[in-house]
Amino acid sequence: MTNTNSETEKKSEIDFIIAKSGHIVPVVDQIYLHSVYDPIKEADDYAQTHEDDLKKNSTVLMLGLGFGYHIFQIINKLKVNHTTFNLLVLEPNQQLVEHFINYCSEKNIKVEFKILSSPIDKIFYQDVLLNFMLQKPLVLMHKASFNKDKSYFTTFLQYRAPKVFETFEGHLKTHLKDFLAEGNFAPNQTIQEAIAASTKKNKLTKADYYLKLYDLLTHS
Amino acid sequence: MTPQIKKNIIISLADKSEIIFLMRLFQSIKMQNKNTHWTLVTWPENLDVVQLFEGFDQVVTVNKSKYSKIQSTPLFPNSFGLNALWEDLGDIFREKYTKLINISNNEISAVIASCITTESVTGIKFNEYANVELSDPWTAFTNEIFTEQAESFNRFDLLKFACSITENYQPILKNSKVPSTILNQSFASIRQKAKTTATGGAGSTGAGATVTATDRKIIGIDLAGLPKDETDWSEIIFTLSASEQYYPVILVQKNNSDHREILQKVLRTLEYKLTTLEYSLTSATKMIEELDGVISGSGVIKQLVHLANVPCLTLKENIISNLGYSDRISDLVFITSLANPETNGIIAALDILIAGKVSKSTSMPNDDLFQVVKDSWGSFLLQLTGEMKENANIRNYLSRLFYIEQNTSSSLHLKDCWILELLEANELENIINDERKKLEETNKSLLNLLRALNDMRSGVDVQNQSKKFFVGIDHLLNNSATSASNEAANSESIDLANVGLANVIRFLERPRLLSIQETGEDGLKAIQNELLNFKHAVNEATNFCHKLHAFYSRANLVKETRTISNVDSL
Repeated sequence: MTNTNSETEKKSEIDFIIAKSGHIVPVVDQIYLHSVYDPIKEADDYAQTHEDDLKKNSTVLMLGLGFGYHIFQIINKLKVNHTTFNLLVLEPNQQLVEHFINYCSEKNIKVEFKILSSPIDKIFYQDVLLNFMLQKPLVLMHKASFNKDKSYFTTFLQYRAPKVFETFEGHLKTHLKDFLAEGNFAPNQTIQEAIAASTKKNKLTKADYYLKLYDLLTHS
Repeated sequence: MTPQIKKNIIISLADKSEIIFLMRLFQSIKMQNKNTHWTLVTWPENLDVVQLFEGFDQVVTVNKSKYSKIQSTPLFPNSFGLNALWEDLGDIFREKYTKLINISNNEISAVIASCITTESVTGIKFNEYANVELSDPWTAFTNEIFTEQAESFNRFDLLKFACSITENYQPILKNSKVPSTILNQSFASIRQKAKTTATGGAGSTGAGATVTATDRKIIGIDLAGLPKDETDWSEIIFTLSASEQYYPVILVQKNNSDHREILQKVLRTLEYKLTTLEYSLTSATKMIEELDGVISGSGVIKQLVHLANVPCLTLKENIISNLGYSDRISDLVFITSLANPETNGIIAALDILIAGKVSKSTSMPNDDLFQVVKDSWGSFLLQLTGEMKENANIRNYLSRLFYIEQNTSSSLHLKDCWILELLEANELENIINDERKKLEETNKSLLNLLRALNDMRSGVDVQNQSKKFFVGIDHLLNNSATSASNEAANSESIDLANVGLANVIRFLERPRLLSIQETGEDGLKAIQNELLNFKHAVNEATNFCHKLHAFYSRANLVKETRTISNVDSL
């Protein structure tokens, strides 16, 4: 986790060059994020290769922003096949995101997707990502961006949330937290362990039954 | 200062037909608790049915699939799932309620009930020591008996008893929401069609009877109510089409591929056009009200038919069924093989149900083949003659009648219970006498106990009297029924196959001595009160037996008098 934090916190060197087609191409830490000849054609080919998947899915998670060329092409494909769509972009480099947003507002380009760039350990506590991931999105990656922040994306893809109380207690809604406080659950317990432990308790609280209810609803 | 509005909550976590069943009960409860805020907890898939009814001020749903989806996604910590559950149910867990009615007999509903702060509970919940809390006789009955044996007597009656309500049949559907114009028009055309086919079509194949449009009753056939593959639909539909009195209309649920498949199959075997009606849940009630009768098995349509008070012929493959809500005389159950239905029996049953031909000699096409008996739910079954426990069924029926009378706080119109006429002269009388004997025995034991208790309180020979008292209690609660018929009557292990009025009284009304907390003089007084309550229940049951016996004797007497007067007039 320290790796990912430091990775997002460190200042990357961003340069911009003009491709032969006249489009702007960002170069981050000497990695060209798009084709230096024609980024639009490259993006079009990219969208073409994923056409079948995009017909089946209207929810897409894109790993890597680049400078958005591939994303706009993907959106074009989604608009052809679906009446509504939902696209979320994950990009750890906040400087790049800022440049992209500024560029779009200058040129009056409409951005029809959300961009998340928080560190991994914080990103999974955001409701936006939860609701998005519950729709079982199609995951696509932008190869150049993926190579640029390989460890970030790999950590994201392999992430498993810790299940013990102390890790998620801070994210519980205030009322629920007060309600659960009656149960005196040990910080290193998971819900299942807390329920198992409650069988040994002399007296059960409403909080114990709340966990029991959650367990019954999610496992029966 | 305005008085604080009472808040009550009902938990019903079952399927749609259960919700419809609940609505009848709820309406009666609401009548007795006016100016009360009512909350319903149910599954989201039941919402469409709940919306058909009015009365609930708040409906809370438990979205099981949402929480399990979050839980099964390893990316997220449990806080998301817990928060999602709290979003749905947090409000009710923080609220203070006056009354909680848990109508579902399952673990999830019991756990939800345990999280809610309330003054009184009906139904099951867990207490702080993780034990199931049984708050009333109904829950005792459902938990100790229901879970072990599917056969039992009507749950609706038990619930009414538990909620101490009177039943009320006022219309409870939001009629404004039910589209009516289109259906009315189509029903006019269906009746016209029934008339034309009766005079010249398939219906005229009978013995040349002249049939008018009003004579031909429109019978809906509920495709959703019977097992799809095991039922010979063609035979049932053909029988009705060929009959002179009935005209079949096939009820098809909108966008239901199973129903379309059945229709196609039937059309391949029948050579004439069928009348079908497509319904959605919101339009179903209006459609049902237009029908003269419905043939069904179980499910949502059957519950709506009960609500609309339309005659319903229930076809059953097997006597054991969990859907035993037919507590009306407008419901008749016919047991037959669904794969090879006894068509004469279906017509005979419809004759009984719709035309009101009730006597054995006139309604049954073949007396040797058929008989009417009552199952453990108190439903009346027309079945092929066989070795059935008929006496046990009558006993159950008596219990049901008694509890209906208790709960409605009014005398039953026994003359309307036409089924009584179907009983042989001796069988009911014998059973009533037997029940009376058992009740008398219980009463005697009770009087002895009360006497012993009085002596204990006055301090006369306390040691001997207390010994006598506890032996008496043991006798009463555990092995008192030394009945003439020697049937099982142990109050803890009540045998439902032979459950009778006396046994049910002893089980449901037995003195709750263990719940008495007081000691000394107060304790004895509390015991005495419990025993007096029990005695009161036994007396009520004895009176009921007397009344029933008197009615039955009088009914027989009336018949005899008529014959005599006819002779006199000659």
